[in-house]
Amino acid sequence: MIERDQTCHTTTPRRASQPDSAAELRANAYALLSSLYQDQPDRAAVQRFSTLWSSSDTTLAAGGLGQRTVEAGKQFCTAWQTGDGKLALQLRREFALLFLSPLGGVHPFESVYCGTRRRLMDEPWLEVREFYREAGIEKGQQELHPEDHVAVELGFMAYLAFLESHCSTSSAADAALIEATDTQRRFLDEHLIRWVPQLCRRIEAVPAAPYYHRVARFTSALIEEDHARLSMPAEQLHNTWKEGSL
Amino acid sequence: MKTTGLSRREFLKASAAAAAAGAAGSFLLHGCARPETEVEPQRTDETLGGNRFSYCGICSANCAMMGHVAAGRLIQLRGNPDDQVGRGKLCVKGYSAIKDLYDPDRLKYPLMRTEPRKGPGIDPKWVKISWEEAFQKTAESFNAAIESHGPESIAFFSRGHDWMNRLRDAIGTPNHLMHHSTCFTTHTAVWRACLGMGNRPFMLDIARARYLLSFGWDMPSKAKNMSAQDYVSAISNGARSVVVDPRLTVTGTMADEWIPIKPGTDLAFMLAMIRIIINEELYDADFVNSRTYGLDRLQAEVQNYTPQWASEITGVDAEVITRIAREFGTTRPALIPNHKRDAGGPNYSNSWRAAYCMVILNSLVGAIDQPGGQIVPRRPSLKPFNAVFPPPDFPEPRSERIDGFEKHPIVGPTRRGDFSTVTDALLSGKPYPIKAALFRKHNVLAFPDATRFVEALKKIDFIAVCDVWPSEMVQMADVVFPEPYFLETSGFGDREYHEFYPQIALRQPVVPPLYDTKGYGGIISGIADAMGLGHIFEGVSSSTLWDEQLKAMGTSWQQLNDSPNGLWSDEQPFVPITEFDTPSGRIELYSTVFEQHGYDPVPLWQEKRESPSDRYPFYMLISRPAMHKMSSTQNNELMAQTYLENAAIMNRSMARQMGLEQGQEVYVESRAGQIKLKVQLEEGIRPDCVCIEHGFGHWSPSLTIAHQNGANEGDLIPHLSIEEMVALKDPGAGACMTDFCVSVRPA
Repeated sequence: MIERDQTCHTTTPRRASQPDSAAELRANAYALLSSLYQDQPDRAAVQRFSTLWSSSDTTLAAGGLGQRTVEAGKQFCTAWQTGDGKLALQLRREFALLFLSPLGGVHPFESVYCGTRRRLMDEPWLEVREFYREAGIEKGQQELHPEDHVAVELGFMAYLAFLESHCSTSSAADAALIEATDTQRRFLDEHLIRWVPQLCRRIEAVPAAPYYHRVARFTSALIEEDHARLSMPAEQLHNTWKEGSL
Repeated sequence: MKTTGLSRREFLKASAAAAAAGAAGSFLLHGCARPETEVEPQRTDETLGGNRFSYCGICSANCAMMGHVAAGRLIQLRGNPDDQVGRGKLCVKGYSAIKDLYDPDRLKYPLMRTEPRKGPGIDPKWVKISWEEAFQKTAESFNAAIESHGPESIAFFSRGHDWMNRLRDAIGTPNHLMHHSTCFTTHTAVWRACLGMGNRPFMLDIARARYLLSFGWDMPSKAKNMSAQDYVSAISNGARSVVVDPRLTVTGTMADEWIPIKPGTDLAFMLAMIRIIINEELYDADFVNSRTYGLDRLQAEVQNYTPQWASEITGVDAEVITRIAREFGTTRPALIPNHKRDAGGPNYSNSWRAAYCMVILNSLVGAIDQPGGQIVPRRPSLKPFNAVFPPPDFPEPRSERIDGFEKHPIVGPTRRGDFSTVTDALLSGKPYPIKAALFRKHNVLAFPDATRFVEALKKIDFIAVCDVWPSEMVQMADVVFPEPYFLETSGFGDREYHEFYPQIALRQPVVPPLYDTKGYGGIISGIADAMGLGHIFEGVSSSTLWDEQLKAMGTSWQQLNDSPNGLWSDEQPFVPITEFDTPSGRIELYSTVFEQHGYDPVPLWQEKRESPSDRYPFYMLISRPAMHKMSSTQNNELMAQTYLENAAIMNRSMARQMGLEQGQEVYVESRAGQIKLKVQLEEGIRPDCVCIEHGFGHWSPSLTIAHQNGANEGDLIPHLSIEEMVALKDPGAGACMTDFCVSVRPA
């Protein structure tokens, strides 16, 4: 899917086995979810992702994704692929219902869940912004959502996973790989895992948003299983890569 | 973190396989081996810190404030110490505005309804649309209405606004409605007739008064900043305070004396006072002789209003009325403060007469535009919008209004409209149907007979709503235009509640807009453009308007922005007004203007419209809690923590006689409707009264804090037909907001 000769600028040969494709898969999963929280769904992007997700379960699992994530992703793709001609309108309605005219306390901002004041721009906003800064990036001007919006945080994970997929396979680069995964673990640990599962439960509690229920299940599965996997001791995680599967 | 040599462009390219492009698009990559230059970096934290000047947009007092910003977010709001209104302080609502700014429920993008049914419990099935789509959809609906039913089939429900007024005039509709008929129109009518001025005649020099006599005036309870400060100051300095009110309010608890008068009878109390003060010659002869007109004729008309007569009506001892009249007449400065929905507000069919008595009594003691009295604000003289941007010729509206407001010659020219009669017209389609409407920050909860008003809205084919929050009005909209919160906007304010000398307060964006919002002027311009009326705003801009207005006053927009305290002031010694814009050139105690238009030229006694009956045995009172501004702040987390829901406030003994306990749910019913809420027991309220605070009972599920807390007392307020309103012969066309009675029973 990714043309490495155009995108990889490391000077050492790439690792031959799973980590790269696994990270790519995760990057795409995070990026897709980010886009689904970012704005009204773009069906073409969903379609492309669905094609990717149609790989066999074995391939997906070998890509470092947990069974719950694999299953949730497939359910999501199936639902969105089989939607009738009104799907596009339904998705727009669900997006607005959940995120633009909020019901049931569905607020896609970390500050609302983890801040002391439960409003926008609370401490988590400062913390996540600092996290991005330490990672060498900041939100673009064209991005209207604040940094602790779920779309931006998931987008950041996509970015980190994508960087991971481009780490080299040399022993010198192992440290970089470990650091890359550690950054993801820390971001999940310090931010996403603290509030996104709760957000997802709130989404699932809104009856009029059946398609986004699947997005929510996919999101929470990915985050929770990714968090569990990345929380393994670094050596163990590294070894699983060398063994080619989890 | 060490990064690869991956650039943003390459990341985007590589991610083209999936929606990763969208995610990556959120970021700039710094510190990459090949940094990108196509996107300018954001401002740094250093440039996002510091203090910004603004003035409060929550109420019309517009207290000047300063916002302390750190790392790009607003940390604290403080009063501007050089502001003559707030004097360095804000009220609880002002301090809490930061919560509104960062309210996650705020409207974020234009929305369009896809569900044709409307009303409580119905999901509008919004979809996000672009601004262009929102303008186009609105313009198509407006133009279709004009084509099929004429320009008068468009209605604007909005406070006056230069841009909106021009679009209204270009369309040629007479139907522009504001909230004043439910708020202070009676005071306005009296001041226009008797003093020839005063759209909002509520500037008070309370701090210097020695005797304060309040008829339902309760600004400390409403946390009206300058009034609360001044009241505390006055009583701390030894001023005597007497509060005449059916309920013991915050003002009353700080007063020397509370007189629990029978609701709607303040007029009788004041008429008796007028008679005593004139007959006993307690008035300020110099002031009355030099500044007023018609004392003799007034004196002749009030001779029947003895204290004994007033006592029977008010339930207050004649001796008390006499004593209060003498105290008021002999203490200088003495003042009857007024503000909007006090005893002279549009509560009862006789309220305009009470407002008239307030002007007369304040005139008798020389308290009009004198230190310690009621002051005419020294507002800056701003060049009007139409003088800066001369309008094209617009046709006069060809039809009468749907609410009959032009039938009231004193206030009709204000074009403020009548909330209590408009429902009938919308429902019946007579004299003609309204096919499209634009609402701005007027919520359905604020209308008399609110549930019926919601039904009436269903008759309108297309409704556009401009708002900051997903209010109930938004739930009725076809297209929603999200506006920024005032802390995200620019401008300046010439305040009118406390201006001893002209002063202007700067409003800078304290923080950048959080979402994709537009100011009201921009929204109106966009609609006009899409309607093919773009020429009416050719060359028009806010920045030009502000600069022209400020330059005409000897400053400029740039100078105001450079001001070290965010204020422009023209301090002058206070010189009392000696001439008034009335036919006599004086304050008319006998109003020739009222007489000319067929109203009683003096405030003769008239009973209020409704009295307790077997079916509805309680007088209805409506108030507002200190921490809320009408129905606009119930979603503020901080204010909700201190006052989450309203209640039916009853006298403890009376409630217990009825077997009611604190917190028990009850039905309160009027001839208009019924609501369910908890009962709150107090000692300080007459046994024959029920008081409910306004602003609650939000049914918009998108207001996640305010939703379903308490009940809307507006459902109890009877609406009026145009004929009923005209028959009341109220020059202010007040909506009789509390002129009805209620029953209470356990739920």
